Amino acid sequence: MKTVRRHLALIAVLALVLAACGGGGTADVTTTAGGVTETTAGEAVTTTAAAGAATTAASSEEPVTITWWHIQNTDPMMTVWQDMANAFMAEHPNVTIEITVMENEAFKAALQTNLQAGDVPDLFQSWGGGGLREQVEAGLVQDITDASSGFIGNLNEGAVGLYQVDGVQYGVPFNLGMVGFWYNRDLFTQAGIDGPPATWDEFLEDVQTLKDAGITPIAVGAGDKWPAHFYYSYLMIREGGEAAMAQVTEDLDFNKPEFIEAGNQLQRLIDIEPFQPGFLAAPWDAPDGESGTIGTGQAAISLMGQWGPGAYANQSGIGTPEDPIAERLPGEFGWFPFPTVEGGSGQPTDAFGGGDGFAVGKDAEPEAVEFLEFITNVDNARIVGATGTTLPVTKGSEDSITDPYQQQVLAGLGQASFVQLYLDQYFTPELGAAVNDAVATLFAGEATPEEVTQAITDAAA
Amino acid sequence: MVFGFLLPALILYGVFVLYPITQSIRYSGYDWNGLAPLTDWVGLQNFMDAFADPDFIEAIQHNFIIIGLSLALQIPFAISLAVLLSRKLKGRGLFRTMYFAPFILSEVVTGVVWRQIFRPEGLFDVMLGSVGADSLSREWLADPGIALYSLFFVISWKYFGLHMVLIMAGLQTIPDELEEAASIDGATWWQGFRYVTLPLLGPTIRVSIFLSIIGALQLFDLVWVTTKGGPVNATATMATYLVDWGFRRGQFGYASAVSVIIFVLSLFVALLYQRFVLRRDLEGALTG
Amino acid sequence: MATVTANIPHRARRLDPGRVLLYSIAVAVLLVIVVPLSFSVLGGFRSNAQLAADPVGLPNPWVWTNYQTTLSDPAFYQWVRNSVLIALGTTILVLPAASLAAFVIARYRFRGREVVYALFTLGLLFPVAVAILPLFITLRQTGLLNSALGIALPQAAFGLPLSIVILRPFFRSIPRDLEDAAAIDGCGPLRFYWSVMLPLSRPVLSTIAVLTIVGSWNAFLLPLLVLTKPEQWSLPLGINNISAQYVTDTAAILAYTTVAMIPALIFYFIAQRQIVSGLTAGGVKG
Repeated sequence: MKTVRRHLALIAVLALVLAACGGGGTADVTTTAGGVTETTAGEAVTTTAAAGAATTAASSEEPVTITWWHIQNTDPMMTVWQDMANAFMAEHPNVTIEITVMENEAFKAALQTNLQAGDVPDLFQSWGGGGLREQVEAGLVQDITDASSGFIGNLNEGAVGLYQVDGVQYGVPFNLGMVGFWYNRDLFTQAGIDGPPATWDEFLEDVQTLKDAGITPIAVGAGDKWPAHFYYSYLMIREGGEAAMAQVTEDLDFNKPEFIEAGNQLQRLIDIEPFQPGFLAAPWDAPDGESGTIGTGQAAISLMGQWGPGAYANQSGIGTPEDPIAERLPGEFGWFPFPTVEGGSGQPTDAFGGGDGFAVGKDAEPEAVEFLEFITNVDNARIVGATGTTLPVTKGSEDSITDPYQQQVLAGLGQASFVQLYLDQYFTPELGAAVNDAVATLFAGEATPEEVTQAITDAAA
Repeated sequence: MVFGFLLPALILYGVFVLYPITQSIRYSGYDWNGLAPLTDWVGLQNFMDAFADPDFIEAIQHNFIIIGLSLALQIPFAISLAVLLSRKLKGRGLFRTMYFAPFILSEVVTGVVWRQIFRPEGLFDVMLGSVGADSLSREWLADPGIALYSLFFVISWKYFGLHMVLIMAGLQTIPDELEEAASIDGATWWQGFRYVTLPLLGPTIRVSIFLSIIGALQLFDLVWVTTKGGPVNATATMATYLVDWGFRRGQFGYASAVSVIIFVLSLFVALLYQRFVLRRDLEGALTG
Repeated sequence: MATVTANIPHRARRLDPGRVLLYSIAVAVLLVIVVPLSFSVLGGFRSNAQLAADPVGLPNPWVWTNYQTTLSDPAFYQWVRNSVLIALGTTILVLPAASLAAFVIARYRFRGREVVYALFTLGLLFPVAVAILPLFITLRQTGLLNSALGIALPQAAFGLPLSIVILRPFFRSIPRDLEDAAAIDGCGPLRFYWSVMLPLSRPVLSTIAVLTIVGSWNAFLLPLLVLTKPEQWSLPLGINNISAQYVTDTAAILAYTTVAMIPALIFYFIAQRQIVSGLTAGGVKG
């Protein structure tokens, strides 16, 4: 009898388990209830300050939890955000901010699965564009037009616009920059090159000169694909200008002579074989990636946004994170805008870039928007600007940008006649991925420029 | 009463295996990003798109290249080692234990370690250099023309132990007297192996090949960790293609169609193999 | 075995070139297995500069900080705990479900028995990857995402086919007389299963448990998609993440990887017999 009873108990447990999976929320069946506080391993730093679920009541006295996913996974910005969250929580004792810090690629994957699970963080990294539009259409993000009206006017209009869909505000920017060429002046000098090139032809000559001098001209993280797409996108803009970009946004037909010519121009560069060994598999940010290759002085040029020098410095092994970035780089660095292309209809001042900001999830409490106001107020924006890794968008914070490299980016942005958002963010995630993939095949020598535009057009259909 | 005993297994299996598979078939008819409601019925369009996508065709080819290489190299290698270890060899227990050890390691650990070994100027290149073979150095995982073969090496490293152990078990069922008889009849070792041992090993080898084929058709973890299917799809398999489209691009409907294709293909290959090769060995384990 | 030695008396001794060749091959293969593993173990004892300069020899000097960091990282232990929990959960689910089903299929005649068995064996062909998208949606609908059960239940379900295929012939081989005798003693099917079959099949059950634990411990795809919160990750997820994100520090990655290997290897050396016999049984029988 005893054995039978035990056996029945086993069945009962099983039935219980199956019943639990039939209904009920995650919280009921989660067996790993205890969270890790301060995961020091890797960049997956989760700071779980306190348990306590978010409540729907808006009263400021009720305990509120804000989940915040950001990708500033290295210092100084990682600490800056932590400090600001601490300061905000000190001011608002009822608010708990749970920070999850992830590396860029890991973040994209994790966000995608969480969104599909309907489990949306309250605040999460967003580049605006087609990805945000898709989230809006699925009802995953929140209209904060009214909630943000009190402070959104203090921010750069161009950056703010990236976080609007059909005139409705869904997020708040904190960083806006552009992509340009970072280069190691010492290596240029070593190869006998006087100054930065102004035209694409000059650029190709300099690349050849570097190569002839035994220096790897360019590092690119083509394994992550988006660093490679910067080259193609910029050439599209130089060839086609604002008009062609507007046109393709409408008709999604990439088989335009301007864009095929952009591929031809890129092909000229690729034919020189200017990239570091293993570039096709290299990521952007790793010791054997683009940032590591540049940071250790093993290549001269990197086409990257304003976050470039900070990442090179982190890979250089020189100095500590507290030192100014310029002192941690392997040599003297400089920045030049993407060269003009002869015969192209784009303006030399047309820029390619974008920003970083935080979208507000559908279930976020009003405090989440208050927190965005807090981190973008002038004082905090100046702290962000002073890091030398980020270009804050708050009006009146510009003088905090003392880093000579960031000043150059800012100057370039100030002259911009037109700013095209990163193409992999501008279009839907599907089309963005197709652009990245197609460009990677060009880098690998597996496709012609015509096949690239055709592949992207097919994906858009 | 007795039927109730089947219930736990049937429920578990139904909810988490059979139901998802039928759902896959349903989703495969829709254009669906996994977020919005399931409304855009597209019929067989997803399937036609998949077969029209050269990347997918290439992924299928990669699966079959892995199958081909496994049959041509990995299994014969495993057979040779099994035969070698079945001889009286000092320390053969140690050899067997160590050969099998990689099978027990997770795909993640395997991938991470080999990625470090194969990276430019990594351990492999340095070892080549130390024996004066610098010129053989390649971009093992970064050159699209080589990456798949480097990956196959890692796959073999991890899985040959399984096949070796299976075949060793098969060898134990062969009475020693048979080989001895052959040898007394004046047969050389090779003749004894070729005409006595190998035929008797047939059933085991056929099962080993079957497992190898199925494993290669489903190949995912090791590829994802080691190369993510790159560079530029050079090591993409059907399963990495599926996950890429489902979870990176958010095309759930299309990716479901891909999973149905993998499903049907695996079933087809399995039934075919069973019909023509395994029939004698399995006693209808698969088809009843 | 003894007869074999008797038949090759003079060939076995002395330095015969054939034997030297055999040993050379065996040792060469051994090196191919051991070198990557020791590269990982030793790599954890190097600094990054040493790794770049000379990844081959012994570390000089030995660097202890990488392993110290790994072993003092609370996240590492959390991941190990999560992995253990998931593995045990999967095993606890799969053992009763599979043994009950195999018991019925092996010993009772009923309509559709062969269909049920075929349905289960069909599952041998389809690991998690093929059904991953709808499985993900099923888990989302049942609220099982981001939970250990969300991994354990599907893993148990996908583990049923192999377990049933291993168990059925074993249950079948137990003589019918035994059951008849039990029936005379007034022992029903449940009682017979519990107090006769299970004790007799302890070795097979432990084999299944061991295989389930190994499979669960190494699983990657399902946890990758289901567990998005770092504090819930299983060990392979944690390691994969560290290797992707601890980007500036290869030596630290190798230290983590090495430490992650240890539980699996210890388990392997202890349970080697079950693992091997289980795989051979499963492999040979289908």
